[in-house]
Amino acid sequence: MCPTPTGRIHTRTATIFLPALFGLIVSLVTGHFDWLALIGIYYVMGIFLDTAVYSWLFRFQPPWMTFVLAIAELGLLLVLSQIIGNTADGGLTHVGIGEAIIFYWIAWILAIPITKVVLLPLISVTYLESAGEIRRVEWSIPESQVPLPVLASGAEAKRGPGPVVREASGVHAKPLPQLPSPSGVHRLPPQPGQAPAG
Amino acid sequence: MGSQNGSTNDFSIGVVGDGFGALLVYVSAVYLGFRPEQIGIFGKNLVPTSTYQQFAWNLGQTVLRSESESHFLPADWPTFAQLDAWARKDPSPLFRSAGRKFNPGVPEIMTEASIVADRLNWTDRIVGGTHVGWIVREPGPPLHYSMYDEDAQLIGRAKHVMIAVGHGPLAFPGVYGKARENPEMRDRIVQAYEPKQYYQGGRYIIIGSGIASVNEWANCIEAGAQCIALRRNPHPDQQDLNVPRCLFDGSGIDAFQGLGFDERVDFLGKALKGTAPTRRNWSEIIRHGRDNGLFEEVIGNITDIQPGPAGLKTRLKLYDGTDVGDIDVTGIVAGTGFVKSALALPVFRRLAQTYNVPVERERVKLKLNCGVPPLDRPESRLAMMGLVSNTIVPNADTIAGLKYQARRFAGDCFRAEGIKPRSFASKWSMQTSLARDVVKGIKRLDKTEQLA
Repeated sequence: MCPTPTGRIHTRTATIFLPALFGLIVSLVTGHFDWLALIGIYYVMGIFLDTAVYSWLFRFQPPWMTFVLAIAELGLLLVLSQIIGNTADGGLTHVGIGEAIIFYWIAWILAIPITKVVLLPLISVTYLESAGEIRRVEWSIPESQVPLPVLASGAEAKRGPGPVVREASGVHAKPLPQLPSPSGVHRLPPQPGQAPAG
Repeated sequence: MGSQNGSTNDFSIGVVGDGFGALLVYVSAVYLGFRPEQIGIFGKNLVPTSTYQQFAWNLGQTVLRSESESHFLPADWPTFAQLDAWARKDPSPLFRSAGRKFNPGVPEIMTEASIVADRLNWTDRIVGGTHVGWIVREPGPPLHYSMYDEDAQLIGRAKHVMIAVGHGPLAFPGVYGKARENPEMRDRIVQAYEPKQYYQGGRYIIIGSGIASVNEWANCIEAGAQCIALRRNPHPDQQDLNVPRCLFDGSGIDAFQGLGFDERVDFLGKALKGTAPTRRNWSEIIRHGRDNGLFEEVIGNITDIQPGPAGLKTRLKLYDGTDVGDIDVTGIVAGTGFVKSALALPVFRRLAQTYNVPVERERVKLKLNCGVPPLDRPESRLAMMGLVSNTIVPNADTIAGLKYQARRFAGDCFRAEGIKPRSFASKWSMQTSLARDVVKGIKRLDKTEQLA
């Protein structure tokens, strides 16, 4: 796949739901929310990497690269969580390194093999061919945005008069009352014999 | 004419054509929510793979160039590598796919297409049992199209029509076409996609450097014949797909569609020049042939072909201008593909003549949604898919490209008709049950050897 920056963000966001749910469950079970915070850090870090690093580093991303990046992101996540954890009131004190690694890989399996590989192509049928973007099943440039040549249509010219023109002309023409001038700038006061406006 | 379909030959979606493209439109539409009876396939092939299968057989092709996602299930998961791995309880296709070295075997993918077609009752959807000769715009209301056969007999009507008639006729450019018309020589000038046989001790010139030609090099050498591989293009791409890989993605197609029509045609002229993929097995066969005096690659052109003592006497001029002189050969195999002119398709030529469909440089000036101007309307679409539409979707002659077009066309019809979308559970059920049957089908086949 050749994911676009938008595609990377869509994918990162769509794949965070199951890990977040997992983090929430673990947090509720253990009674502290460091697990959920870890998912949050992972998401923010991922968005940063997707937009600022991967987008220009990898134009074409072969499938095996996803696993390599997962290992790199684990390292970065551990470093980041240590930095945040060591800051005053940074939290994350309840999570050990070993636990974090196990937690990470479970979250990764939920995010990548389950969500990205299995669910996203089923939910968004064009996901893979739209460079990782979750789009409607639509052409790149919708019909409404295709520029049209400004040319008089020959077909319309040959069509002949429509009902409005037909009713406004000929023997059955309905008399049209004289109404005030349409100009709002140069409007004249009602003239004698003229029907009142409105 | 609407979703309810007044008569048995009135459809919401009609597909003119009965091959891969038609199958993909049908599958995509059903996956989105159309009922099968709302779709009519205007053709005669009861097996949608038959045309391709014939070409593949003539070519001696064993694997497709397509990658793992390019197959006939409506959604992209499971990929073909996953189906193959599951069917044979062998993870190697997964590793190959991860390294982009997996190519679906022809028997496997044909089996998949047949199973999908059977499961969705493809044969019941065939209308008329003949090819469409004429497409006529009917003002309605509602707007629709009528399809007539070659004898101008009405076959049926549809609100939305996809023209999926495939390639034009086989191409014999320049001197090859002239020689092909000569009754004394015509049996010795064959196309890679035609049935053919190499004879031991013979000498054959194989024109082209695309996958069909490289395949023929190997077939020729394996028959014990001498192969002169004549490449007209001195700088073939090493790219293994028809177009640069990122053009298969939405991003690439978006960028491509941002170009003007002439720029797109010029780009295709460069991108679709002969490709020379390196495959392990082919490389070994060709190396063996070269070592045994059975293979030589030259860059140049044949300037003249005459009947000769061995069959043909050809005059060869190399790229650097050297005139090699006369060469006696048993035959010439042209891997020059298909005529790309849209006017080579009779049904389209008549459409263009009747409705002034714009054609430039022998290509249809399609709208960016592959619609045929001036007939195409959002409420009654008329679109084209396949090679003739590669000015819009550069890989339109591949399964991936056909799938791209089929899905979007089906999506347009889905919105125009206000169809109730299939639920996720129903999509899951359809996809997994089709996948299960495909796995069973693949299990029964011998494993096709991968070439890389």
